Amino acid sequence: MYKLLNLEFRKLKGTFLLLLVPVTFLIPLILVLIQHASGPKASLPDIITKSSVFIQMISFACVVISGCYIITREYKSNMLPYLAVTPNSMVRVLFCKFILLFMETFVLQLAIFGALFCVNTVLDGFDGDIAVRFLVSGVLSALFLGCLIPAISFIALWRQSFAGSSIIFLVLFMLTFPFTFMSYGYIFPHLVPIILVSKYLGYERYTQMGYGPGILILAGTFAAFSYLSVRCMKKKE
Amino acid sequence: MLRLMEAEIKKLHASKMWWLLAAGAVLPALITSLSFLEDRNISWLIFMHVALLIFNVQSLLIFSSFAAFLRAREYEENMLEVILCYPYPKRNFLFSKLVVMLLAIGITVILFGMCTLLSGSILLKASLPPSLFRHFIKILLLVSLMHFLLSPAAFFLAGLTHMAVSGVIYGIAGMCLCMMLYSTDFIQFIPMCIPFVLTDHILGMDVMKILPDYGIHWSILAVWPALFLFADAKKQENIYSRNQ
Repeated sequence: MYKLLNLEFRKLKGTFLLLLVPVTFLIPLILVLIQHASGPKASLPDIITKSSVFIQMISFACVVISGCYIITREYKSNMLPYLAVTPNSMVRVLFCKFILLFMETFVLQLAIFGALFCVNTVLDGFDGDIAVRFLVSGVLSALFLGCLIPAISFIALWRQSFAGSSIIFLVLFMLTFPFTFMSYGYIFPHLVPIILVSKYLGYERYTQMGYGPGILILAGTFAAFSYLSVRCMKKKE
Repeated sequence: MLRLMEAEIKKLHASKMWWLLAAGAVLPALITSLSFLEDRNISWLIFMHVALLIFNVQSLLIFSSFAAFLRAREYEENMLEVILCYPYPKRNFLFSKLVVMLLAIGITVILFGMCTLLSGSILLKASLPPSLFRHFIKILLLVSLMHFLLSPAAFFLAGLTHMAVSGVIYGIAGMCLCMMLYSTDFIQFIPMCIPFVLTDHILGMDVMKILPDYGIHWSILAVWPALFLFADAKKQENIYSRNQ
């Protein structure tokens, strides 16, 4: 398993993901700072709370692009027969890709919220409560986005091409605005991480909403698409 | 030239990208209707304002993705060497893709306009004033032009990275810029946000404070594609001279 994971990491060398991840890390930071510098005087945590929906949208886009690319590149470069003849099962290969994507998401979310906290400390001084709030937000965000990884993988496995799978996600992404701002927005699984993390950060639109239905929908999505992805991979085997 | 355009359209014929354009045309009207399902007393102006806002934000993603897929598929399917063998000036290939892009934008905007008017007439109690209808048509023409002027950047990025994903990232960045910076004054100077800001102002809504003279916005929109077309031409020249 470790060798496979190592291999997956090595395959990332020289790909555009090495650029995409830093860009995804920097964009929220820059946009929040621009708002802080230009808008009416508001504290940085307030601006972050107000922009939390968009910060999460950027992260979701990054996970989708990375996921679709990592899965479909095996088809594009005709690597699947070579992977099939190795003594590792295809399901194990799939799990390695899941772990890789989850690690990327986890590091990225912690880095984004960590950087936002550092900027806040520089501007407003250290605040322990905000440190805990941002740390928990980063972990929650990584967990919630991680629940969508099997769904992304399944669609990439089903379509077998980056263009095909990304069209589906582009259409889903179009639903982000304005369904994210509606009370029933969490019926779309891809909006749940956006809504729940924004709620945790204190976004006023979501104060009436509970965590329960969203977490249930995410758990259901995770379970259903994990099963479908494994079944799809076993069929290929 | 016509043959090249025909080839481009034939290449797109079997592609699933048309579904993306269809979704881009239908979804804004549908989402607007769903938003106002419980409040049918709103005016046509508000309905069009919301529909245009959603359309302009989503179109950044749709058109840049479409442009990038149009441009990058030659690289992704290793067709560039074959295409360079054809006895056409190299600039004609890009020009034909731009014409196809203009057609795609035009068709999407027309479909969007039809969907908005149809859903509005079903949903709203008030009837559409003829002057607003004419104004809406004028705005749709301007929207087509503005989005077309933004597309060379996506073409250039796809040509530079040889991957369609760059256009998708460009579109998502544009969407996020529009939504995150809408309360700031300088959103009007960001090329990708100009259709979003200007359309709203031309429609008569004063939600975003912008300069009353549109000269600066149109100048930015004119310089933006010129810059990327020039960079693209330079890059193509380099590829061609290297191949020779």
